[in-house]
Amino acid sequence: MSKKMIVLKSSEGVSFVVEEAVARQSKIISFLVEEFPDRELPLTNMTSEILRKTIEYCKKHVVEDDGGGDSSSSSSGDLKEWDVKFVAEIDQPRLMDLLMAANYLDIPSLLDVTCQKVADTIAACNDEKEIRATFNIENDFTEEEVEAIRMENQYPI
Amino acid sequence: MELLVADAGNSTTTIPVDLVVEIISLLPAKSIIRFQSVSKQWFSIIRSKDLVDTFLARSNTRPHLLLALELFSPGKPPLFFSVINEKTSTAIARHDMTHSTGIYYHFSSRPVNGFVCFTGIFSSMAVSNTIIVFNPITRQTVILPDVRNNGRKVCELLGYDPVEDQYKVLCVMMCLSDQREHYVCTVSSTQKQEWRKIDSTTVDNYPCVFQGICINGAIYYGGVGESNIVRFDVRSERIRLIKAPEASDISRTWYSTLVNYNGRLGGVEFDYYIQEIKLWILEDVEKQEWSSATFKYPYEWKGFGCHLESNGVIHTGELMHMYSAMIRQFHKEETRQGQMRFVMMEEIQQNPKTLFCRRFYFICWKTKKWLSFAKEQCNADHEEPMNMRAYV
Repeated sequence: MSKKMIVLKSSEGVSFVVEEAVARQSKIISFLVEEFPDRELPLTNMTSEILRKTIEYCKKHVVEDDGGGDSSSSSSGDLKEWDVKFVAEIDQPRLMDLLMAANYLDIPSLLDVTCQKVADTIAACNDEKEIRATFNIENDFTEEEVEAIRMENQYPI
Repeated sequence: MELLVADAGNSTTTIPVDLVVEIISLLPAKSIIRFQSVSKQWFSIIRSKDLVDTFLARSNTRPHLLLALELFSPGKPPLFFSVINEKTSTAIARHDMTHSTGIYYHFSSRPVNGFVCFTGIFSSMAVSNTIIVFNPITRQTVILPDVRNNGRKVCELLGYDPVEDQYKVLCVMMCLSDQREHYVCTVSSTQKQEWRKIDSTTVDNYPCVFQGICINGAIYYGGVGESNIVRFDVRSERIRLIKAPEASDISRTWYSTLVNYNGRLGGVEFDYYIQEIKLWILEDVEKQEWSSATFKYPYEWKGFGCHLESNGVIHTGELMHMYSAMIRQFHKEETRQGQMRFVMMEEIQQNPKTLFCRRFYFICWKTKKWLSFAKEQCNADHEEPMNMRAYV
């Protein structure tokens, strides 16, 4: 039996043909597929690169239900390891894009993995300056305000 | 609109606030306080009630034991020891931090939801005491307004009202002849804190306050004499007396202890002559009905004589004891047997250079301290100590 395929289109207009089971890990796509069967789905806010990454993740995590029984493509331990490697290979700006894609497409497991990776990156920063630099955050505190916060936590050593 | 990330191109990705909250909640509690000053938005997220509740809920599933040592000597700040490898029969307590406020410290409150409360005395004249509420994980310190005690002894008791979700400190001021005065301050890191004197005419003078413990929105403490235990309702701020069982000493002796026994007030007392431990349980607050259970000293306790002192029940349900400031024991109530686990207070190892002075007196005052646990459970994982339960 041939598997049902659907077409996803990136912001650059590149079409990606994926198995429905793979794409359905996104709750949004799952909904759209039912509402608009046999239609190409335009994802105008996702670049081809991010869409390709997202599909790569979904392919790895798809649970094959036609084989019967518990035949997910990988064991959960392997999957975790794969996830860690998957996010480790992505640079910072793309990681944020992927996080946004997971949020937009509503793929909870990918959102968890990317959020955790961002949290790990933050935790690895030595101070607030490094976080601001890494994530391009504007410092809207005055020096006095920073000092006041610092004083509050100065006692324990 | 917070985490702005420059893309590889010239566009930027803006992360919505709810995702920023989600990400911050994944950070280890220990490091989160360092990141408050990243931006105003981070500050407000980290200080928000929602985030605090998320952390507390998560940390309650994996409690961690923290021991505090009071060094009864001017200028010696309290040391906090975190107990590692709790599951083992011999655990190790490792120096975690030193809280360096004031020149003298006094603990009369048990920790509540992982928060520690103590008094720091800044001046040798002791005219002004400062009560501190401290979170040992984030290391945030909330200093309450000075208590004008004018030489009177100050006892601080931390309480939590689960209905209003508020922490309050009850401060009892006493000297030899005067009427005891009771003050209450609501703990807040954002709003103005002030002491309010509360009516306490229902309570006669009492000699001291000890074993304060907060259970289900009420602080209980002994020391009142006449077999009474004070019950302070944290929400209504009313004080009343609970009659302790007639045959017991739990309300008035220093070697007995008030404990939280499965959400009820309990009292533990030792009878050194017949080598028995008696556990009293307040079954009904309104009717003031108590039940009791007695069990023999475990074999390993023979020879401890009258040097045993209890420090309350810990999160595993075990009862922790201290032996003459040298040995602490954890004893499992349910089994009625004294299976013990030991905790060894490790000498301060980290950074010996800067800790030299402390190390010096630490060894002099309290060389290898031993604690013991009952050999039981601890089911949660303790890999990442989030919310330490402190025991003083």
